[in-house]
Amino acid sequence: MVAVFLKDLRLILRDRSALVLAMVVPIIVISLIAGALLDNADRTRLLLPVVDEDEGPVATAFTKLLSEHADVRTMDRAEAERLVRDENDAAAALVFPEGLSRAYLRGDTGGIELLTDPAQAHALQAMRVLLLLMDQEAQALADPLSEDLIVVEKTSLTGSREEVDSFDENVPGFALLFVLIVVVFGTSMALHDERDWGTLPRLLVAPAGFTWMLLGKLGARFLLGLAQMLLLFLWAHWFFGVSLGPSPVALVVLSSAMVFTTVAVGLLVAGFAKTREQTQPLSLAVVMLISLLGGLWFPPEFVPEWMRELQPAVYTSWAMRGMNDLVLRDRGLEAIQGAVTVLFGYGVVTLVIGIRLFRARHSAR
Amino acid sequence: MPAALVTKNLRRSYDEREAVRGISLEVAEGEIFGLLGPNGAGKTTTLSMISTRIWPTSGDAWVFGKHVVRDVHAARRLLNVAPQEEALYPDLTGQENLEFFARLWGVPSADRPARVEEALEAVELSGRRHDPVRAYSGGMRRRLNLGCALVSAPRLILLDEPTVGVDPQSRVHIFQAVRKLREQGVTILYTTHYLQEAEDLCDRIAIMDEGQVVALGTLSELLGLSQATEVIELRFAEPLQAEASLAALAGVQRVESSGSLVRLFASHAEPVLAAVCGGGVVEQPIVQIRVTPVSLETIFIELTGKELRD
Repeated sequence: MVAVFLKDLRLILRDRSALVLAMVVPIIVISLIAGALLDNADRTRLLLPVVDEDEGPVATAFTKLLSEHADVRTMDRAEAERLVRDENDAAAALVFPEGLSRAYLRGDTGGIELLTDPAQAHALQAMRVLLLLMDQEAQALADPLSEDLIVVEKTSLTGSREEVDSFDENVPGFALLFVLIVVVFGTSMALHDERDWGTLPRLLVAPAGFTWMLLGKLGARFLLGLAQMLLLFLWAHWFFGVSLGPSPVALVVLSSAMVFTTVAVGLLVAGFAKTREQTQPLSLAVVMLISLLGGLWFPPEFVPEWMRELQPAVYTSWAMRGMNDLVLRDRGLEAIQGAVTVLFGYGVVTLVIGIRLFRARHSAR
Repeated sequence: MPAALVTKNLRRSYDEREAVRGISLEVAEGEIFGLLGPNGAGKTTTLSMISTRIWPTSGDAWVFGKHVVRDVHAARRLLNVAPQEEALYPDLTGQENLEFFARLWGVPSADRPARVEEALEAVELSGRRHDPVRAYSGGMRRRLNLGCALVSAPRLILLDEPTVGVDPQSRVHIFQAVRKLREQGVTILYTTHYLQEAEDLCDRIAIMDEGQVVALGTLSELLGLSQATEVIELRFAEPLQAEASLAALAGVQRVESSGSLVRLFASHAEPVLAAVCGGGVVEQPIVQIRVTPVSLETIFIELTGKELRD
């Protein structure tokens, strides 16, 4: 027993890089999660675009009250709609329509318009709480709402649905996370399998050439990852009623882009890792980091500002953005063009770097 | 005959260490050419350069006129390699492995079944074609490894120590397959550190040591390199002190000693033996005497000062 213990210890200590990775990766991941969840000081207040078409005392009073709890920015309706519908930077915008104050002063019922993006369910929920708070504080000031003189009318700007349940909200993130795990680990380990089986030297002298051999291997992983991702969505659709969006083609295109880039990331990991022992912690680190930074774990409003600023640099955030457009906002192919372009671009660059790295390590030199 | 393989001053360095130090060879089409040398002599590195697996640090190599670096894809189409380590997919069957490598080497789909069949027959694995490779014995795997190199019907096959660790039955199968390839006109570059294999199989042999070819020729040409015709092995009870007296005997070309074993390289063994056994040359008692004709092993020892061991 002691002999085996000492031998295993010696083997573990011999691969220093694997050891360092195994120790450092959990520390980095835990620190990032802590940063995401505990960094309250850095967390931005809820962005609330306000359209003041009323320009009367009611709108002014409400805006002042809301400013105490949210990042209220007054703008015109077009800009507010753009922030909610196109940029998805705000979960909702509040519109005080023209004549609201006059109606109120006359004692007539008036309405406040809430333009929403139901896909941002958590932020929208927070917004509702904010409006309730505003209601209470307004009552304390002038009691305007107690007589139901002002009602809130919700309009969804981003899709046919007014509400998104938590299952709908979580499925895209978790689907992407599982595909990420399977594809990154599968791709990187598959390349090391060839080395362990001794087949790599033979593949390297095949007339087809090294790059085609690699692309063939990656192609198989891509197909498997794509099938897994689509199956996951189909399962969620049939058994739990999760929307797949209005366009099956868009779902396939976006899934393809996501899986393609993830396969390329797997190749990059295999290129960096010299041994199987290094591959595992490195794959884990990559999966954890890009899923966390990409917003697969938490909605954007849960993470601090610095993390949100990093998100556009992480391809998974684009995949998430596209998935939310399809699944939660019921948008079609045109809505995901940007995300798909970024994903494929990211994938091609990663693939080229990965091939070069892998070639440098294994090809004829 | 046209040259199947030409190398000129082929060199390969790894950091500070030069593994191959200027190898120049010319192998004719249809020839079985042996690279014989101890482990670490540079045989596998030489083979790897010819197979395009690694690039030479300097020097050139051509396979049927195709340069292994500048015309790499054309060169690859003409050759195949059975690496020293098994290169097989354990979860695929023998037939599936062969089909995969046939496809990889661009064998047209119409020809593929026949090629796979031929390869299976050549390595005598037809009966186990549908078994997964992980169920094969070590010898069967080595045979399939060879089969995978045959399936593309290459004009040049590089066999890197194909019989290392192989049971006698599989060794016979491999020899039969290699001889059959020669009958078909396939050129074979065969590395080994088994002298008997080189003697039995190869038309010509290059003896390698420390990255260089130290001798090259047919078996009889190599045997002719030695001035001696016979080797007398004398084993003493303890290490011999008086080598000089043996070296001074008439007819002795050279003396080598290793511990209590002394080898006398002689033009004729009989008068030397008579002198040794007649007394007065050595005082220590001789416990064993053996006389053998000069062999490839003798030549190897003469040229390198080393013995080949399994």
